[in-house]
Amino acid sequence: MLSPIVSIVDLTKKFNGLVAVNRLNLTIYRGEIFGFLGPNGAGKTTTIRMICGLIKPTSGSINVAGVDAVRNAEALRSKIGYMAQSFCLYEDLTVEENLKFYSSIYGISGSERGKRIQELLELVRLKEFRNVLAGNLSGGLKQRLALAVAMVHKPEILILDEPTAGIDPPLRREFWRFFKEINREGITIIITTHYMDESENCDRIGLISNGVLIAVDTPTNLKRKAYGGDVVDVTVKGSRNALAEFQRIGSIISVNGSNGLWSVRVAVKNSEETLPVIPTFTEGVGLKLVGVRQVQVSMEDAFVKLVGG
Amino acid sequence: MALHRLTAVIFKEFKQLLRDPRTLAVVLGAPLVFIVSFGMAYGGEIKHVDIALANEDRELFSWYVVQEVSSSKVFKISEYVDSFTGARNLVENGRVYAAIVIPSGFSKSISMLSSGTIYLVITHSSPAISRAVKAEANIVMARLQAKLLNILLKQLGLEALSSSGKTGIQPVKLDIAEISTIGSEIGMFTFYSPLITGLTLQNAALTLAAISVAREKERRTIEQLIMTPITRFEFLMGKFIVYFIFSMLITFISFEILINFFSLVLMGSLIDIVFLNIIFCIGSLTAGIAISTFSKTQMQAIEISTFILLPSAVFCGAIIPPEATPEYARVIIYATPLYHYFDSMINIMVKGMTLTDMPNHLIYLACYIAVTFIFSFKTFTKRIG
Repeated sequence: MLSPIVSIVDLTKKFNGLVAVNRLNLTIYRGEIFGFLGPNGAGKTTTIRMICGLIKPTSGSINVAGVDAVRNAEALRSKIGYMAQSFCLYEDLTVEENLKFYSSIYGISGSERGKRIQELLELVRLKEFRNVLAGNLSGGLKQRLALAVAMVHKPEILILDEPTAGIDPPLRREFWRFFKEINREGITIIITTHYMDESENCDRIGLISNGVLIAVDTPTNLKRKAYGGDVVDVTVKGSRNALAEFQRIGSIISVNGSNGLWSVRVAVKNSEETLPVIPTFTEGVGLKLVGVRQVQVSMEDAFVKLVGG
Repeated sequence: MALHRLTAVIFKEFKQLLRDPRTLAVVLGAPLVFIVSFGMAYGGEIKHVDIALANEDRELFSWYVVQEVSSSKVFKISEYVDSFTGARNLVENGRVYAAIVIPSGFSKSISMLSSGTIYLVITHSSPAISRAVKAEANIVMARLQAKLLNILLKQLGLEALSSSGKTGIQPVKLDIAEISTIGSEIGMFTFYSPLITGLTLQNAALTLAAISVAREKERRTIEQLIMTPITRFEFLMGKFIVYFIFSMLITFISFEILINFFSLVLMGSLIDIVFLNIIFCIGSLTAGIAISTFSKTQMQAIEISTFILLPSAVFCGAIIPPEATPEYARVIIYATPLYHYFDSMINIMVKGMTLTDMPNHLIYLACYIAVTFIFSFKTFTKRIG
């Protein structure tokens, strides 16, 4: 049974008359990895800052883990773990001192604190860097420390604002391993990103553009939505005139080729149903089937399609 | 307020401050250089103090006195007068710091083997100078004592006795007449000392506090911190405590240097001085935090601080006393916290007054603390937009 952990109703934020977030409605469920996907300046950070209670919305309401995030932001603090877009920890303190400071702020002390720090250092693999000043860490290590600090008080919700921005792809993959590991322990993760490919790691994605939430769904469903179904690529030999017949099985996206060898891309309702009937279909319209495959639509294509209308 | 959060902030601030050698050098090193150079320029060994000499006696023995006083390096006889009254007037008018008077009948008394009295008229306007003058007068007396005794014994043909030193005869006696009214001229060193300690304290406390919150904003560390349950009070208080300790340490060292190396004399009670410095330190810190809460960067905070520190030195009453300024400018002086510190310090240090004698200064400084504290508390919110 899905239980909501974040409920947003008609959320709007204006900065000096400029609308940053426009009437956003959304429910995020406990235990999921939810991603806000959108280009820079789309309103992702503003939205999650409002969820955290860092920014007061112009109108609308947000309920986070049973707490009114607009009126009672302070009550949220122990429930949320937050990792900001840029490195926000003390560069003149060591890895361990940063962790100690934040544990003390959350009221974790004594042997419990030592144990928790040990756990976190293991989780983000920073053990051998514990005595290094945070300012001397590389970008990737800094982000790992920030993740550990966000987790120090075992929050219910982990909010990550562009955690992988500016990090090279192998490290990004490593980060996602951490996120999944954390998520497995039952922690809800809300993440923003402008990397289309990594957003597919999320359970659900909310597409944001110009402050408007365009679509919310699983990555697979979003891609289907973009084209109204699955996309298949059929390669045939034969007359060009016969290609129009493909409209009978779906909508034609594109046709490429020449000299009687054609590659037709068609959006179909459901590839599982369509793929088996294609040989009979091509034979019926007088085309010789060369090959057929389902196209893995990239999130980027889907995003462009959905945002572009 | 949770103690564990407050102590976490205190420890963090201490570590950060100790690991920031540049800030330490500016805040701790610069004032010390300032204090030492001030002491070297205005304080230290006292020489060539202007004094007046009145010789009413004009007999044999009086000339020995004149000779001895003239040969002193501390004294510089700048005025010769005829009478005690004349000498006293010069001291009271502030023309000289002290006067030595040889009354008529001085030589006669000595010839008759009784003591001849010399008067030292001295003002309290500069405690350091009056102390030096008294000390030197005693040295001069000791020399005279020996010299005159030798001459006396020679005259009486009792030279043998002089070596034993047990004649029981004391030819000269020093009588010190102190004039306790404040002369128009307080020594430069004494007068400017409270200005220097005040500036040092204000500069250290205000600058430290001003960059504190601004630095957290500039380095964006505030973004992570406001996501925690820490309260505004805990956050600001933790910083406040650390900077208070540092600023008071600097003030303590400043006074130690001025007193021990440059002979600054404090007339009033030490408790009053400590209390006043604590109050002024708190005020400077809360003002600094107020600046910090509305500055976005450290640079901005320092610029705003400079705009407060500079005029406050000009309008603290040390350069232009309020009595010498037009009515409208006086308002600025009265509004300057450093003026209230400076004036109180002069009153305590030089006139030996107590803080209860000048409640207005204390009331003003208390208001200063309250206003800046409330302002910083209102300006600093746990939101970023």
